[in-house]
Amino acid sequence: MLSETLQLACTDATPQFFGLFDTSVAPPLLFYAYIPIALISLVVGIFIFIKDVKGRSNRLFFLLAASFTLFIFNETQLWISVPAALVYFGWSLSLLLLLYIHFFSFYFAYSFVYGRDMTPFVKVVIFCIASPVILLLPTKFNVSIFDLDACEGITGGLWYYYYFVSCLTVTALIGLTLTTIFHRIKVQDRSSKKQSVYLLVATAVFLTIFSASYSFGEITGAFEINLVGPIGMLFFIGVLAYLIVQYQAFDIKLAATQALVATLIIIIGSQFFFVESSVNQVLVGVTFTIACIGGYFLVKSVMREIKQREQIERLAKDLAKANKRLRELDQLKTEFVSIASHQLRSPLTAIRGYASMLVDGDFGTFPEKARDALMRIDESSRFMAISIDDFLNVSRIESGSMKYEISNFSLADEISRLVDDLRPAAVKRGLVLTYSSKAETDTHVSADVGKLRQVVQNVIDNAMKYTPKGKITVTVADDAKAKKVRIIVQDTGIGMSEETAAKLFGKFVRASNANTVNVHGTGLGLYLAKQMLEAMHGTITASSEGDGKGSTFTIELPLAH
Amino acid sequence: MTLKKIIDVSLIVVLGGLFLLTTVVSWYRLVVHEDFTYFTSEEDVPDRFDFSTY
Repeated sequence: MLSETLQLACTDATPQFFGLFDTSVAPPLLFYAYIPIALISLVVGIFIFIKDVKGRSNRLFFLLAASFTLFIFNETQLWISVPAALVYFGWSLSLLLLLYIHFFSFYFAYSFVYGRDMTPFVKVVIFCIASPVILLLPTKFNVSIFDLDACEGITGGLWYYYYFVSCLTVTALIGLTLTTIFHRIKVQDRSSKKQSVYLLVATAVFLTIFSASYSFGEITGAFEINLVGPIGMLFFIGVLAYLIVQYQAFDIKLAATQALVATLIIIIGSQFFFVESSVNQVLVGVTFTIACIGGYFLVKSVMREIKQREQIERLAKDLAKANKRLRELDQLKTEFVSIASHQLRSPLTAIRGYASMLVDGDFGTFPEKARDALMRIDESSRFMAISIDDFLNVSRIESGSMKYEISNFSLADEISRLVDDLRPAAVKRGLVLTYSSKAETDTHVSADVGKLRQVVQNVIDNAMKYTPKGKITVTVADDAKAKKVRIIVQDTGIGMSEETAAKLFGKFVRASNANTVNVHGTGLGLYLAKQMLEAMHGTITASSEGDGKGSTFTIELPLAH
Repeated sequence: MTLKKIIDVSLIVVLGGLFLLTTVVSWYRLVVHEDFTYFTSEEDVPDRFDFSTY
């Protein structure tokens, strides 16, 4: 037994525990202040390390937590050991562990803030600063002599050097904090800058409280002051937990919750060893059970939240991929339509030209039957040319290459002229096409005359196509208050349902009853009209009282200033 | 091996080795052999130890 081989014992204690320790000589606060904090830091350190064993900051935090825990257990051993040799052994290790705590605190803060390793130069500088402690550690400059009466080591001059090193570390951390606040460090974004500042301040506060309490304790000999030291670590862990929860630092929300719950249960469970009265034991038992149940549900809810977040992230990623692919396909389709339309248009121009000349008799007269066939060729090629133009326009709009030549002109005059131009075609179909102006003011608009004519012509053409008999009225009216002018095209045609009216301006959309009166049509005319009007800050709407009750198309444009 | 790697390995060896060495040597010297200077009162302080310097 170790207790039998050790001859020298501290005079103020009597061995109780394994013949080596006397817990009665230590202040009761020691067990509440030291052990739980050491356990919390070790558990958090392990969880952070397990999350990413290769992460630099994770490794460094684990080493810091391990050094701190070792130091705390060494300190506890110093308080309760009875053999002088064990106490001396603890004293000789203290300085080294303190040095490790300072080194890993700074290294961890540096790695967290910069997101990279320290440069070899910084490492060499730190090594040079620490080298006196490393070289003189086994000498009497560390622990000079042992006071058997007081059961404590008499510290050597090396400890004063350590006080200087601790001041240096805190100063360096303050310097890093100020540099981060004043933008000299390139941090990724605002939130990571905030994280860096919080962590640096927490590290500086931890080391200040920790070092100051131990320094005062050692210098004054009032070792009870040392008990305040670990509170700094508690503050540090608290800030780290805040960063984990608020900013997903280390991406270990679940691990941190599990660590917190495990620590809480360990702390509450450890109370069983200290409380003596049965009432207190029952109270601890109840608290322990509540902590276990609450902890279970807390971990479960965090797991669910993380699972949902991961699912959403995965879906968003898939959606973004699909969206990108769709855009590519759409672009390819637009390019294909554009190329194909251009290739079709050139020969079609020749077909239309020659067909027209043949119908007009430029190449001599034809029998009535042949003339009829030629007229059909002419008419079909005209429809085909319109369809190709529509395809080309859609492709131009979607690729953003449609050009608009904006000018100021009187809308009422332009629409009046257009209606006059279209009237013969209406008459040919047995329809009445009328125009009226209800404008009370000047109807000047800023738009592309050609495109607007094309849009209105398209709407009137549609009205003619889908009105087997009756009339079409075109009205221009202004709304001076809203600074807008409207073109209303009303017919007595086949009408449409409310559902059809709502989706009429979509690509390749035709009214369900359209084929009953007009087999031609690509379903692009109104889509193009809407796109062109929107580009000119206008709108187009359709309404109908129902099938067979006619339709009304309203085009609205802002009045020119 | 780059300079950075050499420094990193040295650092690990020194820090880890130092901890192990200090622990083993101190344990052997202090705990196994009880080889250390002590006093019970100020009069007992050995001559070779100049208490006033610390």
